Amino acid sequence: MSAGTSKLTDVLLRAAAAPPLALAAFALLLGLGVPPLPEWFWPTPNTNVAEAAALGDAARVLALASDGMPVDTALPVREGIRSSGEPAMMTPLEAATSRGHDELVQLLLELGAGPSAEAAITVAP
Amino acid sequence: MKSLRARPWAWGAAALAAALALGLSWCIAQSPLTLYDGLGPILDSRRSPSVESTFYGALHSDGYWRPLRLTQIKAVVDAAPGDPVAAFKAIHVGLVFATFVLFAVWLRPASRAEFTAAAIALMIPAGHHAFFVLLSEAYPINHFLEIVALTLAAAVLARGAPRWWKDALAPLVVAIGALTIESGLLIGVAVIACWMVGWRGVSWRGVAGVLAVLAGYVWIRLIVLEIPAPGLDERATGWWLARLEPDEIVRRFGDNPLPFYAYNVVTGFAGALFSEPRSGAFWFVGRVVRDDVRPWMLIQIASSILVTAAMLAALVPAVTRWRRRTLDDRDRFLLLAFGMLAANAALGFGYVKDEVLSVGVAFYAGGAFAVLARVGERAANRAAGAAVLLVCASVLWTTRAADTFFSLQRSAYNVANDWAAYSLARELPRDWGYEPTRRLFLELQHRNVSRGVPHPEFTKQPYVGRYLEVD
Repeated sequence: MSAGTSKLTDVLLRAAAAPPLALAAFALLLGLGVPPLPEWFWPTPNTNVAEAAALGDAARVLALASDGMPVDTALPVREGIRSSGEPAMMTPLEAATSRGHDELVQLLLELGAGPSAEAAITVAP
Repeated sequence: MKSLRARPWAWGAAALAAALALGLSWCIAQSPLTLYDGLGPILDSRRSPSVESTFYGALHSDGYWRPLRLTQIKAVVDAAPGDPVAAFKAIHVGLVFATFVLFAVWLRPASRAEFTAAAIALMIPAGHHAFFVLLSEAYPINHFLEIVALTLAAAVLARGAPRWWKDALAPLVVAIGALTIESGLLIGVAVIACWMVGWRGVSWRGVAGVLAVLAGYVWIRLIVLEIPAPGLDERATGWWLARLEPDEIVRRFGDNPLPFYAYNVVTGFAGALFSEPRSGAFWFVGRVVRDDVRPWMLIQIASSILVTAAMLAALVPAVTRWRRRTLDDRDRFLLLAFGMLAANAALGFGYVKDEVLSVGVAFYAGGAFAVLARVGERAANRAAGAAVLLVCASVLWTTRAADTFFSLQRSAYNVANDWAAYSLARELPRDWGYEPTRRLFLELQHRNVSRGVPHPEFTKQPYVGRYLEVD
C-alpha cells in the first residue's frame, strides 16, 4: 500500500471519531446553559399575545395571559408574522380568527377576550 | 487517577456519554411533561389515599399487570406535592444519564479503534427512532427508559467479575422491572443471555434466581390472577402501508390472530434493524409510492442498513465460534444484539410500537460497537474501504442523533400547546369537580405552558426539516 493511501486512511479514522465528538461538545455546551446556534436552537420566545395568537401558539398566549398581559387589546404584529393584507395592529382574537386557529379562539374567549364587532361576526356560529 | 490512566478510552467514552446525556437533559428540562398518558396517572395518584392502596389497586387489571408503575408515580407525587413536575423531570434526567453512562460502561472501550466505535455506537440510542419517545415523553415516568437502564445495569453486572451480591441483586432487579411493565421481563432474558454467551458476572445461582422470578411471574399473572396478554382490540398498529384501528384488527384477525402476531414480531425485528417498517407500517415505501421522499428518510434508512449489514456479515463467524466455544467479547456483543432484539420483538407480538423495542435497540447498539471496532482495526491496518465505512456510519448516525435535539424542541412545542388547549372540565369532569385534582391540574398546566418553548417559526425548522425528522 502506498504512503498516500496510508495517510488517507489515518485521516479517515480520525474523521470517523470527529462527528460524535462534535455533537458531544454541542450537547455539553447546551447542558452547561450556553446554547450554541441560538438562532436555530431553542431561542427565547419574544412574541406578544397578538403575535402568539397569529402563530397559533396557545401555550405562549396562556402563559402571557397568566402573567397578567391583557388579551383584548390591539397590539403590533411584526412583519414576517402577519401576512399581507393583515393590519399592523390586531387584538389576539382578531389574529387567531384571521388564521383559523379555532381552539385558540375558544381559549381566548375563556380567558375573557371580548370580540370586536368584526371578529364577533367571524366567531359567531 | 490510576484508573483513568489505566483505562483512558473507557473514561473517554463515559465522558462522551455524560456530555450527550447533559445536552439531552437540558432539552428535557425545557420541555413540558407529557399531557396525554401523563396527566391521568398523576391525578389518579392525587386521589389515591396511600402508596399501599395504589399498589393493591393496580394488582388486578385487564390485559396488563403493572402494579409498580402507578406505585412509583404515587410515591413521587406524595414526595413532592408542591411541584411534582420538577420531581418527574429530575427522574427523567436521572434515567437518561443512567442509560447513556451505563451503556458506555458496558462497552468499556480499550483502544482508539474501540473508542471510535463506542462514540458511534452512542449515537444509536441518541438517534434511533425507537429511543425518541423515551427522551421526548414522560408519562410521567418513562418506564421504557427505566427498563432500558435496568437492563443495561444487568448487562454491566454480567460482564464484570462474579460476586455474591450480583447473584442476589439480579433477581431483585428482574422482579422490579417485570412488575413495572411487561418489557421488564427482558431484564431476566438479558441476564440469562449474558450467561449463555459466557459473561458470568452473575453466576448460575443468580441465573437460577432470575429463572425462579420469571416462573413466579408467569404463575401469579396467568394462573393466580388470570391476567392474560392484551387482546386484539387493545391498540391500533401498522399493517403493510396502512394503520389498522382496533375494531378493524378484530374484524380481520379475530378468528385466527397468529398471522397478525407473526407480522408484528417480524416487522418489529426488521424495523429496529433497518428503520423500516416503523410501528409496523412501511412508511418509507409509502413515501416512495407517493413520490414524497425527503433526504432525512434516506439518512435514516442508509444509516441502519450500513450498520446492520456489517453486523449480519459478522454474525455467521460469531455463531461458528460460539459453537466451538471460542467466543471473544465482540462476538458476545453481536450475539446478544440479535438475541435480545429477537426476544424484544417476540414479547411485542400484540402490537408494534417503536419504543417497545428500545431494550433490543440498546443491545443492537452494543452489537454495532463490536462490529465497528473490528472495522476500525481493519482501517488502522490500512484497509481504506473499512475506514470509509466507519466515516459513513459516523456521519449518518451523528446526523440522526443531532436530529433528536431539534425534534425534542418541536415535540416540546406540541406538548405545550396540548396543555394550553386542554380542558379538564370537558375531558375529565370528575377530576374538575374534585378540588385537590382541579388545583393540581391548574398548577401543572401553569408550569407546563410557562416553559418558554419557542414556536417552530423561530427555529429555522423549514431548513432543518429537510435533513432531520422534525415534523
